Amino acid sequence: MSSPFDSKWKTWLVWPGWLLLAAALLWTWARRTQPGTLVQGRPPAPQVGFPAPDFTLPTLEGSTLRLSDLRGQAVILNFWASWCPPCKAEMPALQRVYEAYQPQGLVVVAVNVTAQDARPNVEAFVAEHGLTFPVALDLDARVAAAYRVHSLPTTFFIGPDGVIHDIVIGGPMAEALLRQRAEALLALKEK
Amino acid sequence: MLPVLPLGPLSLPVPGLLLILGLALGSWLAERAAPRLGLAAKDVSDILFYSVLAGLVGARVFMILRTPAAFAASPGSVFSLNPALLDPVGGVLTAVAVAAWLAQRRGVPWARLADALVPFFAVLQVALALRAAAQGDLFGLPTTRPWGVALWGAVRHPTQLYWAAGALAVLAVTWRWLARGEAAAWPPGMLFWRFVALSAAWFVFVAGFRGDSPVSAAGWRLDQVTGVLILALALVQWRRLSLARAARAA
Repeated sequence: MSSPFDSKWKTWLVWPGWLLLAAALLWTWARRTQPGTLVQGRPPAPQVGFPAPDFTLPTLEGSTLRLSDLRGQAVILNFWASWCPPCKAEMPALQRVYEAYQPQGLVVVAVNVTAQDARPNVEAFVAEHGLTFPVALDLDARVAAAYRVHSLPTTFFIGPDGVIHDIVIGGPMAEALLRQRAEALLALKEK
Repeated sequence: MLPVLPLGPLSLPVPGLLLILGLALGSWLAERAAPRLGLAAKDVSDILFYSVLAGLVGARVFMILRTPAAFAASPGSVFSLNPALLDPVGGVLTAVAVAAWLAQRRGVPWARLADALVPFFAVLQVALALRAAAQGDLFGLPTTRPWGVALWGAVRHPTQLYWAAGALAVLAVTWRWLARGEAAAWPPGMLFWRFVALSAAWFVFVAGFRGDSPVSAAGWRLDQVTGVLILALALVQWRRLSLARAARAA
Protein backbone atom coordinates (compact mmCIF):
# COMPACT_ATOMS: atom_id res chain seq x y z
CA MET A 1 0.00 0.00 0.00
CA SER A 2 1.49 3.32 -1.01
CA SER A 3 1.71 6.21 1.42
CA PRO A 4 0.61 9.81 0.54
CA PHE A 5 4.34 10.59 0.51
CA ASP A 6 4.90 8.03 -2.30
CA SER A 7 2.03 9.38 -4.36
CA LYS A 8 3.36 12.93 -3.98
CA TRP A 9 6.72 11.82 -5.35
CA LYS A 10 5.04 9.96 -8.20
CA THR A 11 3.14 13.08 -9.27
CA TRP A 12 6.46 14.89 -9.49
CA LEU A 13 8.24 12.03 -11.28
CA VAL A 14 5.66 11.66 -14.06
CA TRP A 15 5.75 15.34 -14.80
CA PRO A 16 6.23 16.43 -18.46
CA GLY A 17 8.14 19.49 -17.26
CA TRP A 18 11.19 17.22 -16.82
CA LEU A 19 11.16 16.65 -20.61
CA LEU A 20 11.41 20.38 -21.30
CA LEU A 21 14.15 20.74 -18.70
CA ALA A 22 16.00 17.73 -20.13
CA ALA A 23 15.73 19.19 -23.65
CA ALA A 24 17.11 22.52 -22.42
CA LEU A 25 19.99 20.77 -20.65
CA LEU A 26 20.75 18.65 -23.73
CA TRP A 27 20.75 21.73 -25.98
CA THR A 28 23.01 23.58 -23.53
CA TRP A 29 25.39 20.60 -23.48
CA ALA A 30 25.34 20.36 -27.30
CA ARG A 31 26.17 24.05 -27.71
CA ARG A 32 29.27 23.98 -25.51
CA THR A 33 32.27 25.59 -27.13
CA GLN A 34 35.97 25.85 -26.45
CA PRO A 35 36.74 28.89 -24.28
CA GLY A 36 38.03 31.69 -26.47
CA THR A 37 36.79 30.30 -29.79
CA LEU A 38 33.90 32.78 -29.96
CA VAL A 39 36.36 35.65 -29.62
CA GLN A 40 39.28 34.39 -31.73
CA GLY A 41 39.55 35.53 -35.31
CA ARG A 42 37.04 38.34 -35.00
CA PRO A 43 37.58 40.92 -37.75
CA PRO A 44 38.10 44.56 -36.78
CA ALA A 45 34.69 46.17 -36.22
CA PRO A 46 33.30 49.11 -34.24
CA GLN A 47 31.63 46.88 -31.66
CA VAL A 48 32.37 45.88 -28.09
CA GLY A 49 34.52 42.75 -28.04
CA PHE A 50 36.01 43.33 -31.51
CA PRO A 51 39.46 44.73 -32.41
CA ALA A 52 39.21 48.46 -33.09
CA PRO A 53 39.61 49.21 -36.84
CA ASP A 54 43.06 50.65 -37.47
CA PHE A 55 43.57 54.04 -39.11
CA THR A 56 46.22 56.61 -39.86
CA LEU A 57 45.25 60.28 -39.75
CA PRO A 58 47.05 63.64 -39.80
CA THR A 59 46.98 65.54 -36.53
CA LEU A 60 46.38 69.21 -35.91
CA GLU A 61 50.05 69.58 -34.96
CA GLY A 62 51.14 68.31 -38.39
CA SER A 63 52.25 64.78 -37.50
CA THR A 64 50.43 61.53 -38.23
CA LEU A 65 48.69 59.27 -35.76
CA ARG A 66 48.24 55.54 -36.28
CA LEU A 67 45.91 53.79 -33.86
CA SER A 68 47.85 50.51 -33.88
CA ASP A 69 50.92 52.40 -32.60
CA LEU A 70 49.01 52.91 -29.36
CA ARG A 71 48.70 49.14 -28.76
CA GLY A 72 49.54 48.41 -25.12
CA GLN A 73 47.94 51.62 -23.92
CA ALA A 74 44.43 52.44 -22.76
CA VAL A 75 42.80 54.62 -25.43
CA ILE A 76 39.72 56.86 -25.34
CA LEU A 77 38.78 57.57 -28.96
CA ASN A 78 36.36 60.48 -29.19
CA PHE A 79 34.69 61.55 -32.46
CA TRP A 80 33.67 65.22 -32.37
CA ALA A 81 33.11 68.46 -34.29
CA SER A 82 33.48 72.06 -33.18
CA TRP A 83 29.84 72.89 -34.11
CA CYS A 84 28.42 70.10 -31.94
CA PRO A 85 27.27 71.45 -28.51
CA PRO A 86 27.53 68.17 -26.52
CA CYS A 87 31.01 67.57 -28.01
CA LYS A 88 32.09 70.99 -26.80
CA ALA A 89 30.48 70.43 -23.40
CA GLU A 90 32.39 67.20 -22.70
CA MET A 91 35.83 68.36 -23.91
CA PRO A 92 36.87 69.99 -20.60
CA ALA A 93 36.06 66.74 -18.76
CA LEU A 94 38.06 64.76 -21.35
CA GLN A 95 41.01 67.11 -20.78
CA ARG A 96 40.82 66.73 -16.98
CA VAL A 97 40.62 62.94 -17.21
CA TYR A 98 43.54 62.92 -19.66
CA GLU A 99 45.64 64.99 -17.26
CA ALA A 100 44.69 62.76 -14.33
CA TYR A 101 45.39 59.41 -15.98
CA GLN A 102 48.01 60.14 -18.64
CA PRO A 103 50.88 59.29 -16.24
CA GLN A 104 49.35 55.82 -15.83
CA GLY A 105 49.22 55.28 -19.59
CA LEU A 106 45.89 56.68 -20.75
CA VAL A 107 45.78 58.20 -24.24
CA VAL A 108 42.90 60.37 -25.43
CA VAL A 109 42.55 60.74 -29.20
CA ALA A 110 39.99 63.29 -30.35
CA VAL A 111 39.10 62.55 -33.97
CA ASN A 112 37.64 65.70 -35.49
CA VAL A 113 35.24 64.86 -38.31
CA THR A 114 36.82 67.61 -40.40
CA ALA A 115 34.74 66.68 -43.45
CA GLN A 116 31.84 68.29 -41.55
CA ASP A 117 33.88 71.00 -39.86
CA ALA A 118 36.23 73.87 -40.63
CA ARG A 119 39.87 73.63 -39.64
CA PRO A 120 40.10 77.22 -38.34
CA ASN A 121 37.18 76.51 -36.01
CA VAL A 122 38.91 73.34 -34.80
CA GLU A 123 42.15 75.22 -34.12
CA ALA A 124 40.32 78.00 -32.29
CA PHE A 125 38.40 75.54 -30.15
CA VAL A 126 41.49 73.54 -29.20
CA ALA A 127 43.39 76.73 -28.31
CA GLU A 128 40.48 78.17 -26.34
CA HIS A 129 40.08 75.04 -24.19
CA GLY A 130 43.81 74.31 -23.90
CA LEU A 131 43.42 70.73 -25.12
CA THR A 132 46.74 68.89 -24.85
CA PHE A 133 45.77 65.47 -26.17
CA PRO A 134 46.22 64.63 -29.86
CA VAL A 135 43.53 65.89 -32.21
CA ALA A 136 43.36 63.85 -35.42
CA LEU A 137 41.71 65.22 -38.55
CA ASP A 138 39.32 62.92 -40.39
CA LEU A 139 39.39 64.97 -43.58
CA ASP A 140 37.13 62.74 -45.69
CA ALA A 141 35.12 61.14 -42.81
CA ARG A 142 36.57 57.76 -43.83
CA VAL A 143 37.42 56.84 -40.24
CA ALA A 144 34.02 58.02 -38.95
CA ALA A 145 32.42 55.75 -41.57
CA ALA A 146 34.64 52.81 -40.58
CA TYR A 147 33.53 53.30 -36.97
CA ARG A 148 29.88 53.68 -38.05
CA VAL A 149 29.62 57.03 -36.28
CA HIS A 150 26.00 58.08 -36.80
CA SER A 151 25.91 60.95 -34.32
CA LEU A 152 28.40 63.17 -32.57
CA PRO A 153 29.94 62.79 -30.10
CA THR A 154 30.62 59.06 -30.12
CA THR A 155 33.32 57.62 -27.89
CA PHE A 156 35.11 54.27 -28.02
CA PHE A 157 37.01 52.88 -25.05
CA ILE A 158 39.84 50.69 -26.34
CA GLY A 159 41.91 48.39 -24.12
CA PRO A 160 45.65 47.78 -24.29
CA ASP A 161 44.82 44.66 -26.34
CA GLY A 162 43.36 46.87 -29.08
CA VAL A 163 39.86 45.55 -28.37
CA ILE A 164 36.87 47.86 -27.89
CA HIS A 165 35.56 47.53 -24.33
CA ASP A 166 32.78 50.09 -24.36
CA ILE A 167 31.02 52.58 -26.62
CA VAL A 168 29.12 55.68 -25.58
CA ILE A 169 26.93 57.23 -28.26
CA GLY A 170 25.93 60.83 -27.57
CA GLY A 171 26.92 63.23 -24.87
CA PRO A 172 27.99 65.16 -23.02
CA MET A 173 29.60 62.38 -21.00
CA ALA A 174 29.84 62.96 -17.27
CA GLU A 175 33.35 63.17 -15.88
CA ALA A 176 32.63 60.28 -13.50
CA LEU A 177 31.77 58.11 -16.49
CA LEU A 178 35.08 58.97 -18.16
CA ARG A 179 37.01 58.32 -14.94
CA GLN A 180 35.24 54.99 -14.41
CA ARG A 181 35.96 53.79 -17.92
CA ALA A 182 39.54 55.07 -17.84
CA GLU A 183 40.21 53.18 -14.61
CA ALA A 184 38.66 50.03 -16.03
CA LEU A 185 40.90 50.24 -19.13
CA LEU A 186 43.99 50.91 -17.04
CA ALA A 187 43.15 47.95 -14.82
CA LEU A 188 43.33 45.78 -17.96
CA LYS A 189 46.77 47.21 -18.65
CA GLU A 190 48.00 46.06 -15.26
CA LYS A 191 46.75 42.47 -15.78
CA MET B 1 21.15 47.80 -36.97
CA LEU B 2 19.87 51.33 -36.35
CA PRO B 3 21.50 52.94 -33.31
CA VAL B 4 20.44 56.45 -34.30
CA LEU B 5 17.36 57.71 -36.16
CA PRO B 6 18.17 60.98 -37.98
CA LEU B 7 15.15 63.28 -37.93
CA GLY B 8 16.12 66.57 -39.54
CA PRO B 9 18.65 68.24 -37.25
CA LEU B 10 17.93 65.72 -34.48
CA SER B 11 19.60 62.33 -33.97
CA LEU B 12 17.28 60.16 -31.89
CA PRO B 13 18.89 57.24 -30.02
CA VAL B 14 16.80 54.25 -31.13
CA PRO B 15 17.82 51.90 -28.25
CA GLY B 16 16.69 54.45 -25.66
CA LEU B 17 13.47 55.16 -27.53
CA LEU B 18 12.64 51.44 -27.72
CA LEU B 19 13.18 51.09 -23.99
CA ILE B 20 10.91 54.06 -23.20
CA LEU B 21 8.30 52.76 -25.63
CA GLY B 22 8.50 49.31 -24.02
CA LEU B 23 8.05 50.76 -20.52
CA ALA B 24 5.07 52.87 -21.63
CA LEU B 25 3.31 50.12 -23.59
CA GLY B 26 4.06 47.52 -20.91
CA SER B 27 2.61 49.76 -18.18
CA TRP B 28 -0.48 50.41 -20.27
CA LEU B 29 -1.06 46.67 -20.79
CA ALA B 30 -0.40 45.86 -17.12
CA GLU B 31 -3.09 48.40 -16.11
CA ARG B 32 -5.51 46.63 -18.41
CA ALA B 33 -4.52 43.22 -17.04
CA ALA B 34 -5.05 44.20 -13.39
CA PRO B 35 -8.90 44.18 -13.32
CA ARG B 36 -8.92 40.80 -15.06
CA LEU B 37 -7.04 39.43 -12.06
CA GLY B 38 -9.17 41.17 -9.44
CA LEU B 39 -6.71 44.01 -8.79
CA ALA B 40 -7.30 47.76 -9.00
CA ALA B 41 -5.68 49.24 -12.12
CA LYS B 42 -4.60 52.29 -10.11
CA ASP B 43 -2.74 50.13 -7.56
CA VAL B 44 -0.79 48.36 -10.31
CA SER B 45 -0.14 51.57 -12.21
CA ASP B 46 1.10 53.39 -9.07
CA ILE B 47 3.30 50.49 -7.99
CA LEU B 48 4.83 50.30 -11.47
CA PHE B 49 5.43 54.05 -11.71
CA TYR B 50 7.10 54.41 -8.32
CA SER B 51 9.10 51.18 -8.77
CA VAL B 52 10.51 52.33 -12.12
CA LEU B 53 11.33 55.72 -10.61
CA ALA B 54 12.97 54.10 -7.58
CA GLY B 55 14.80 51.71 -9.92
CA LEU B 56 16.39 54.65 -11.74
CA VAL B 57 17.49 56.25 -8.48
CA GLY B 58 18.72 52.89 -7.17
CA ALA B 59 20.66 52.25 -10.36
CA ARG B 60 22.54 55.53 -9.88
CA VAL B 61 23.11 54.93 -6.15
CA PHE B 62 24.52 51.45 -6.80
CA MET B 63 26.81 52.90 -9.48
CA ILE B 64 28.07 55.52 -7.00
CA LEU B 65 28.67 52.81 -4.41
CA ARG B 66 30.56 50.70 -6.96
CA THR B 67 32.92 53.51 -8.00
CA PRO B 68 32.88 56.14 -5.27
CA ALA B 69 36.25 57.62 -6.26
CA ALA B 70 35.03 58.58 -9.75
CA PHE B 71 32.05 60.46 -8.26
CA ALA B 72 34.12 62.00 -5.46
CA ALA B 73 36.37 63.55 -8.12
CA SER B 74 33.34 64.87 -9.99
CA PRO B 75 30.36 65.26 -7.60
CA GLY B 76 28.23 66.93 -10.30
CA SER B 77 28.17 63.60 -12.16
CA VAL B 78 25.73 62.26 -9.54
CA PHE B 79 22.98 64.14 -11.40
CA SER B 80 24.22 63.30 -14.91
CA LEU B 81 21.64 62.08 -17.42
CA ASN B 82 24.11 59.53 -18.87
CA PRO B 83 22.36 56.14 -18.90
CA ALA B 84 25.84 54.58 -18.91
CA LEU B 85 26.13 55.70 -15.28
CA LEU B 86 23.28 53.43 -14.17
CA ASP B 87 23.85 50.01 -12.61
CA PRO B 88 21.17 47.71 -14.12
CA VAL B 89 21.35 45.06 -11.39
CA GLY B 90 21.12 47.68 -8.66
CA GLY B 91 18.20 49.27 -10.46
CA VAL B 92 16.26 46.01 -10.75
CA LEU B 93 16.91 45.10 -7.09
CA THR B 94 15.69 48.50 -5.92
CA ALA B 95 12.62 48.39 -8.17
CA VAL B 96 11.65 44.92 -6.91
CA ALA B 97 12.15 45.93 -3.27
CA VAL B 98 10.05 49.08 -3.69
CA ALA B 99 7.32 47.17 -5.59
CA ALA B 100 7.16 44.56 -2.79
CA TRP B 101 7.00 47.28 -0.12
CA LEU B 102 4.28 49.24 -1.92
CA ALA B 103 2.26 46.07 -2.58
CA GLN B 104 2.38 45.17 1.09
CA ARG B 105 1.32 48.69 2.13
CA ARG B 106 -1.67 48.62 -0.24
CA GLY B 107 -2.63 45.05 0.58
CA VAL B 108 -1.95 43.76 -2.93
CA PRO B 109 -0.86 40.09 -2.83
CA TRP B 110 2.68 39.77 -4.27
CA ALA B 111 1.88 36.72 -6.38
CA ARG B 112 -1.18 38.38 -7.95
CA LEU B 113 0.83 41.54 -8.58
CA ALA B 114 3.47 39.44 -10.36
CA ASP B 115 0.69 37.99 -12.56
CA ALA B 116 -0.64 41.45 -13.40
CA LEU B 117 2.86 42.62 -14.32
CA VAL B 118 3.39 39.78 -16.83
CA PRO B 119 2.30 41.92 -19.84
CA PHE B 120 4.74 44.61 -18.64
CA PHE B 121 7.63 42.13 -18.45
CA ALA B 122 6.63 40.54 -21.77
CA VAL B 123 6.57 43.87 -23.65
CA LEU B 124 9.83 44.91 -21.99
CA GLN B 125 11.40 41.67 -23.19
CA VAL B 126 10.37 42.43 -26.78
CA ALA B 127 11.74 45.98 -26.41
CA LEU B 128 15.06 44.70 -25.03
CA ALA B 129 15.42 42.26 -27.94
CA LEU B 130 14.71 45.00 -30.51
CA ARG B 131 17.07 47.33 -28.62
CA ALA B 132 19.82 44.71 -28.97
CA ALA B 133 19.05 44.51 -32.70
CA ALA B 134 19.29 48.31 -33.02
CA GLN B 135 22.65 48.33 -31.25
CA GLY B 136 24.04 45.19 -32.89
CA ASP B 137 24.44 43.57 -29.45
CA LEU B 138 23.77 39.92 -28.62
CA PHE B 139 24.86 39.07 -32.16
CA GLY B 140 24.77 35.54 -33.56
CA LEU B 141 27.31 33.02 -34.76
CA PRO B 142 28.30 33.10 -38.44
CA THR B 143 25.85 31.12 -40.57
CA THR B 144 25.21 30.10 -44.17
CA ARG B 145 21.43 30.10 -43.64
CA PRO B 146 19.59 32.29 -46.16
CA TRP B 147 18.11 34.41 -43.37
CA GLY B 148 21.53 35.32 -41.98
CA VAL B 149 22.26 39.03 -41.63
CA ALA B 150 25.54 40.82 -42.41
CA LEU B 151 26.84 42.15 -39.12
CA TRP B 152 30.33 42.80 -37.71
CA GLY B 153 32.23 41.34 -40.63
CA ALA B 154 30.23 38.14 -41.14
CA VAL B 155 26.81 36.82 -42.11
CA ARG B 156 25.32 35.88 -38.76
CA HIS B 157 22.26 34.33 -37.12
CA PRO B 158 19.90 37.24 -36.34
CA THR B 159 19.71 36.13 -32.70
CA GLN B 160 18.16 39.41 -31.56
CA LEU B 161 15.27 38.86 -33.99
CA TYR B 162 14.92 35.21 -32.90
CA TRP B 163 14.65 36.50 -29.34
CA ALA B 164 12.17 39.24 -30.30
CA ALA B 165 9.96 36.78 -32.22
CA GLY B 166 9.86 34.37 -29.29
CA ALA B 167 9.21 37.18 -26.82
CA LEU B 168 6.35 38.40 -28.99
CA ALA B 169 4.87 34.89 -29.08
CA VAL B 170 5.16 34.66 -25.27
CA LEU B 171 3.40 38.04 -25.00
CA ALA B 172 0.60 36.80 -27.28
CA VAL B 173 0.14 33.53 -25.36
CA THR B 174 0.16 35.15 -21.92
CA TRP B 175 -2.24 37.90 -23.03
CA ARG B 176 -4.59 35.23 -24.42
CA TRP B 177 -4.60 33.47 -21.04
CA LEU B 178 -5.46 36.81 -19.44
CA ALA B 179 -8.06 37.86 -21.99
CA ARG B 180 -9.91 34.53 -21.86
CA GLY B 181 -10.08 34.64 -18.08
CA GLU B 182 -8.03 31.46 -17.65
CA ALA B 183 -5.30 33.21 -15.68
CA ALA B 184 -7.87 34.59 -13.18
CA ALA B 185 -8.92 31.04 -12.32
CA TRP B 186 -5.35 29.91 -11.66
CA PRO B 187 -3.66 30.17 -8.27
CA PRO B 188 -1.86 33.51 -7.75
CA GLY B 189 1.62 33.40 -9.27
CA MET B 190 0.81 30.71 -11.85
CA LEU B 191 0.69 33.12 -14.81
CA PHE B 192 3.99 34.69 -13.74
CA TRP B 193 5.84 31.36 -13.45
CA ARG B 194 4.43 30.16 -16.77
CA PHE B 195 5.70 33.38 -18.36
CA VAL B 196 9.13 32.91 -16.78
CA ALA B 197 9.29 29.25 -17.89
CA LEU B 198 8.35 30.01 -21.50
CA SER B 199 10.71 32.99 -21.70
CA ALA B 200 13.61 31.08 -20.14
CA ALA B 201 13.09 28.07 -22.45
CA TRP B 202 13.18 30.32 -25.52
CA PHE B 203 16.18 32.22 -24.20
CA VAL B 204 18.13 28.96 -23.68
CA PHE B 205 17.33 27.96 -27.25
CA VAL B 206 18.35 31.30 -28.79
CA ALA B 207 21.48 31.65 -26.66
CA GLY B 208 22.79 28.51 -28.37
CA PHE B 209 23.21 30.58 -31.54
CA ARG B 210 24.87 33.58 -29.91
CA GLY B 211 28.32 34.63 -31.00
CA ASP B 212 29.06 36.65 -27.87
CA SER B 213 28.13 34.31 -25.02
CA PRO B 214 30.40 34.34 -21.99
CA VAL B 215 31.93 30.85 -21.83
CA SER B 216 33.13 28.97 -18.73
CA ALA B 217 36.50 27.22 -18.56
CA ALA B 218 34.66 23.93 -19.18
CA GLY B 219 33.08 25.33 -22.35
CA TRP B 220 29.53 25.90 -21.05
CA ARG B 221 27.77 29.02 -22.26
CA LEU B 222 27.01 30.87 -19.04
CA ASP B 223 23.91 32.60 -20.45
CA GLN B 224 22.43 29.20 -21.30
CA VAL B 225 23.33 27.75 -17.88
CA THR B 226 21.65 30.72 -16.16
CA GLY B 227 18.62 30.24 -18.41
CA VAL B 228 18.38 26.53 -17.51
CA LEU B 229 18.52 27.32 -13.77
CA ILE B 230 15.75 29.92 -14.14
CA LEU B 231 13.73 27.48 -16.26
CA ALA B 232 14.10 24.78 -13.57
CA LEU B 233 12.94 27.17 -10.84
CA ALA B 234 9.95 28.33 -12.91
CA LEU B 235 8.90 24.80 -13.85
CA VAL B 236 9.06 23.65 -10.24
CA GLN B 237 6.92 26.63 -9.14
CA TRP B 238 4.49 25.98 -11.99
CA ARG B 239 4.19 22.33 -10.96
CA ARG B 240 3.90 23.16 -7.26
CA LEU B 241 1.02 25.56 -7.93
CA SER B 242 -0.68 23.04 -10.25
CA LEU B 243 -0.54 20.34 -7.58
CA ALA B 244 -1.83 22.73 -4.90
CA ARG B 245 -4.71 23.69 -7.18
CA ALA B 246 -5.52 20.01 -7.90
CA ALA B 247 -5.41 19.22 -4.17
CA ARG B 248 -7.84 22.07 -3.45
CA ALA B 249 -10.18 20.93 -6.21
CA ALA B 250 -10.17 17.39 -4.78
